[in-house]
Amino acid sequence: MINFPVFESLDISGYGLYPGPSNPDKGLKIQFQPGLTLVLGANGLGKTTLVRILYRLLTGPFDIPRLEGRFDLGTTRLDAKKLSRKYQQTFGARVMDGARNATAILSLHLGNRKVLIERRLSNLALIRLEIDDSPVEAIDEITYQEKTIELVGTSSFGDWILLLRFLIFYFEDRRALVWDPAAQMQILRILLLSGTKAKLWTKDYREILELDSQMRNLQAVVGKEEKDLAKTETQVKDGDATLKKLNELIKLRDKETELYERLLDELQEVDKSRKQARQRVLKSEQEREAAFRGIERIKFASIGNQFPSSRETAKYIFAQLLTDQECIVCGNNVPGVEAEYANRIEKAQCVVCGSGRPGQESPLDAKDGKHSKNLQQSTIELRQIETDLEEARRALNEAEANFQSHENQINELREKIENQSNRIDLLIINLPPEEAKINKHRTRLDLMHVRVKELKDQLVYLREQFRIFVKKVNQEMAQSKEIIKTSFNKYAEGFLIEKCLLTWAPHKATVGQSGSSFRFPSFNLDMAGTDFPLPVRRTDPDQVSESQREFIDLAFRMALMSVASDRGSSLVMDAPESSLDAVFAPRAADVLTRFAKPKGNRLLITSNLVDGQLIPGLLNSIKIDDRKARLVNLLDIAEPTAAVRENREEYDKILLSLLQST
Amino acid sequence: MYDTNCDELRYGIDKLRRHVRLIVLLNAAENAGLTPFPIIQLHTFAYLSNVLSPVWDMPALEGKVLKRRGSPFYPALQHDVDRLVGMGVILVSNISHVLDEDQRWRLKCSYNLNHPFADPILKCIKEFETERKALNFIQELAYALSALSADDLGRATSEDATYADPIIDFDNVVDFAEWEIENFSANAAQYFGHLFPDQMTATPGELLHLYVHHLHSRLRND
Repeated sequence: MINFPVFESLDISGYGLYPGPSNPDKGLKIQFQPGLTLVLGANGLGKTTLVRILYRLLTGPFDIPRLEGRFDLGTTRLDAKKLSRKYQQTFGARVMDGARNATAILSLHLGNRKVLIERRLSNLALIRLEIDDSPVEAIDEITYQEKTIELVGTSSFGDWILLLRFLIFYFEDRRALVWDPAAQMQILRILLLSGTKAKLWTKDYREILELDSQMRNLQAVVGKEEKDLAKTETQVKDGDATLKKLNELIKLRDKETELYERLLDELQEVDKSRKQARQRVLKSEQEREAAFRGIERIKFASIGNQFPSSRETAKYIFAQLLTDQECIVCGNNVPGVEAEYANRIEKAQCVVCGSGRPGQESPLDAKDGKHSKNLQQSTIELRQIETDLEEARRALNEAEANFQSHENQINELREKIENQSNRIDLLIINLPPEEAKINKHRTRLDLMHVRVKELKDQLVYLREQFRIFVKKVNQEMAQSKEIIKTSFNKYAEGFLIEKCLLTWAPHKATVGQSGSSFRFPSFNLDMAGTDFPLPVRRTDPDQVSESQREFIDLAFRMALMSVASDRGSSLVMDAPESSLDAVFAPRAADVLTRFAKPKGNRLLITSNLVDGQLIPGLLNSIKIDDRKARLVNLLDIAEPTAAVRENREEYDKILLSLLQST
Repeated sequence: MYDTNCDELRYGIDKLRRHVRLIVLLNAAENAGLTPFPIIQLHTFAYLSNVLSPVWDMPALEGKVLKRRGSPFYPALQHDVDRLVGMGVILVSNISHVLDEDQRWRLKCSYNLNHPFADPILKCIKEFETERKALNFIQELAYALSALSADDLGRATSEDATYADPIIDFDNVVDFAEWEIENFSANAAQYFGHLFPDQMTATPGELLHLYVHHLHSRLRND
């Protein structure tokens, strides 16, 4: 069980950006109550800075490098590293005095332990750390990090930073966890595995990454040495045709190796599309079968009346013909016959010979007045599903052809490169006897080849051990999938109109840039849409609208947090209104309010004073008398910008109307 | 779609293979006393004949299936069954329509071979070595499965190592022989061979019986 931070209070003093309303309330003070705290302001008043201060109070002057960009978490080391001096002084750089006397104090709960952190804003240095009201003596960042991981329950400080980045803080430059399988793998590892296993995972993973990088570096050096050797030999035996050939071959092989590696990278993506297309076809086939049987059921009941004493096989054949226009006796498609038979049934005639059957009503009308209507509607639905199935099959054929073409190219290139390497080796051996220098070079190269082989063997062994470990823990993690899905549905249903399902779909990825792939835990998303009557896999954030993207990811984060801890959490969102339209804003407010309700969760939202439905929607869940206490008004607290000074009255009017709206 | 005058050679070879497999499945089920064979049990039997085929050193006829909340169901195979009913090779009985675990309509019925039409086909199948091998494998599997009640057979895949793999969620593809090669069911069956004393070697048939016995024990312990 992970203990997420539950914020209690924040006190920023001596910081020029937040001079405070007046004495004695200098600075910025927030008492976080269970539920919503809303930070309102205008551009330039320090909303984002406030969120960053909260974040930095928790991370100190440490972070995981390159986490902010779109960098693939699968190929990077996730260790917390000390920030450069420039980044440590980010808050100081925003004010004239370099935040010389500015401090920030955050009180929070981690599980049932009370924690107080005080830092200098000029350089993020730790001034005070208290646990359960007792000061921790001789504090430094290492002690702080050790205490934090002990209280939170993660296996490293890097994991704590990942939790903050991917679950707690919703920055403007956030990465969508639901579409980032590498990040999901890390978060699920932290949340669902015991500390020992999560640590072992990281250790093994890192060891493979390092060895892989070591091996590749050495391989690159070997390549360079080969080139140098050829060059030296060219110099020695200038004009020699063999050496010329050797150089050409090495150049060609390098070029083709580059292409080969690019195609290998692409193959993973192509394979992903191919699998997505196959899943869509199989799902559409099941839907088509169900729709078809639904219609068959109605028609079968109708035909049953026409064959009071005949065998079921005959009824079955006629039902199929009337449903699918296909004669299952000969396999032909016969819409004309189907129409004729349907007409006979409607007129209460014998379906086989067309004779009148006096006294018989049309079974379609007689049995249930709604049948004909149902039948029509069901038939339209069936045809829609069939169109979708056709499209899915076409997409699958295309994806398979694409995959095949990539694979063929890769195989051809691999063979070519192998042949070229063999020819290069042969040419090097057949070179005329050289001077001592060249011999020495060759011996060195031989030793390097041996070392590359050793590293490769070691990698194969480590990868196999890791594969066994991952397989075991995958099973363990999969046990939590249903509860996460249920929790996700609870949040997503409120926001989305379309049917949207989370599905457990482990993804394949290599560890490092070589070797075969592993199956790592992750969820995918199936969602219906305007062009897709059935939920279709959305493997890319671009496959949904911007509003949907943000809140699907939010629902996913909320689901993970509620499953991983029953002691509450905080969620900090910076400017969530930017991606929402008028329809989605009230829905978003509803989802956020639902997160804020249970377990004493804290929800901190920063927003500009804008027209729209999000802020009123959020405020509506709070009694009018209580609203002021939940509001941090940066117009009063922050150093005013020129725009605020000029338009203050207007801003105040908007604020008042928000506070009084119901 | 086939034209009225087409003969067997003009079917797609895959379709013909699937038709043959269906006749063999129903014949094996009948020999093991399992007929009339309910539709769900037929699809489960087809799935097990695919996933356990490596035990008999044979390739799977279909190496993947969509994981559903209930047992496996192959729409293409069902279309083939419908066609064979139309041709008179299979007889259908007790037809009705029911809602499945996902509240979608599905057919409920039972099937039998119509011997005057099926027997010449079976006779022909037995003349080819590979087909005879498949027939023997499926027959052995049917005998093993006959130890289960109809109800247990219908839900056998809920304990099957591949279909019930918790890593694969519903509505995702269970792939054991199309683009992937991991087949936990066949691995588990093969593993039972290691439990025999050193001087004894388990036959493929014994491995099938042991695997089905294992399914049975797990179903009983539910």
